[in-house]
Amino acid sequence: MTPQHIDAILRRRSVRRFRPDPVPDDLLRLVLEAGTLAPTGGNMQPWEFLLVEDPAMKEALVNETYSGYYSGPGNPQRWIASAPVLIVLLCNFKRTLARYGESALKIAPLDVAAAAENMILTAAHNGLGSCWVAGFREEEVCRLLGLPELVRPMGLLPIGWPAEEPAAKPRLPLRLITHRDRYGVPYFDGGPPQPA
Amino acid sequence: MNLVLNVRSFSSDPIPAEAEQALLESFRLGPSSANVQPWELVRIEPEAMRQRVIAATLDPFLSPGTEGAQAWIAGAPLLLAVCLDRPRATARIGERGWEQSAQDAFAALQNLRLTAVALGLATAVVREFEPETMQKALGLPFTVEPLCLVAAGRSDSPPEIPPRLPLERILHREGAWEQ
Repeated sequence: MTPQHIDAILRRRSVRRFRPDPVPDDLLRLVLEAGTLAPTGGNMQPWEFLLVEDPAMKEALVNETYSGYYSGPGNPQRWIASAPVLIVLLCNFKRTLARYGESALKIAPLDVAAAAENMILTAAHNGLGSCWVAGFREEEVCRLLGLPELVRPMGLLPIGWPAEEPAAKPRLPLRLITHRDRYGVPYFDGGPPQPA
Repeated sequence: MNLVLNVRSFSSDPIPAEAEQALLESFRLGPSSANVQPWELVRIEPEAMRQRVIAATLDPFLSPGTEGAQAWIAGAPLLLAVCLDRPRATARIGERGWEQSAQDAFAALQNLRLTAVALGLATAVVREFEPETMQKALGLPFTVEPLCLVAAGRSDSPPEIPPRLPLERILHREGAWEQ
């Protein structure tokens, strides 16, 4: 068998404009279930999902987002509110902390990231668009959603039917990011890194 | 160990703070499958909460309509609810983890009860309730379920040591199941 890419990986884009059509419940459920199938340290499954349906809550949440590196108020990512589905990806550290102690702080968010990617790809596979949003004021979001102490928001995931077709972004070639045996020794060619 | 008995009448003396701390710490150190420590403790303190909890208790046969049957817990100087966090208990191995979490919590509870005996305190475990009713009475999150209540305090009544089966009635030596 010829090695093949997973089509959804190739087709996935960060989509920031959506048609207003709703996402069917069974499809949404499929996306959430895909999250629960991600690899996870010790099978502790630290992911939890908070679906924001209340328009007022959606608005309040969007107001705590920002774009770029300036995290102060005034430049929220308004487009998020146009997504028919808004999922807050949560990390519940308590289970992993119980089993592994402090290393949970590293392990658990990685598990949630893997779950998020499963969800994003399942959405893409079914024609949905999504965009993982990390630019939000974490403490404010915790307060807004009433999160307990050991539950933290890892990202917002707006999902819907795409109203745009973003072009593929340039990606670093493997040649520049792959090392052999020791850091700094290229894996893919013997010479120094070439301009991309 | 003979004194780990259910005692249902307590003197009104409060438990000294250090003694209570020792009870709670000994619970915390209980063993648990895969070290998931599936338990949560709720200290039932405000009177209104205690009354709601009492109203959720049933008679020893768990008969419907006997709500409020364990009213004696009103007089316990310390009243705790031992609860289990279902996601924490089941994440690793599924439903079998739920069974194990109860076993683990009772092992932790035995720690607490032995510590109580060592401190001259008496305890009682109450399991006579419907979990859903008690979950509401305690105001627990939907992912946390009550396993039992434990009451503790000083008791003036002499301990009622129950009859125990002698070892030869429960030990089957060398694998032989003799009657």
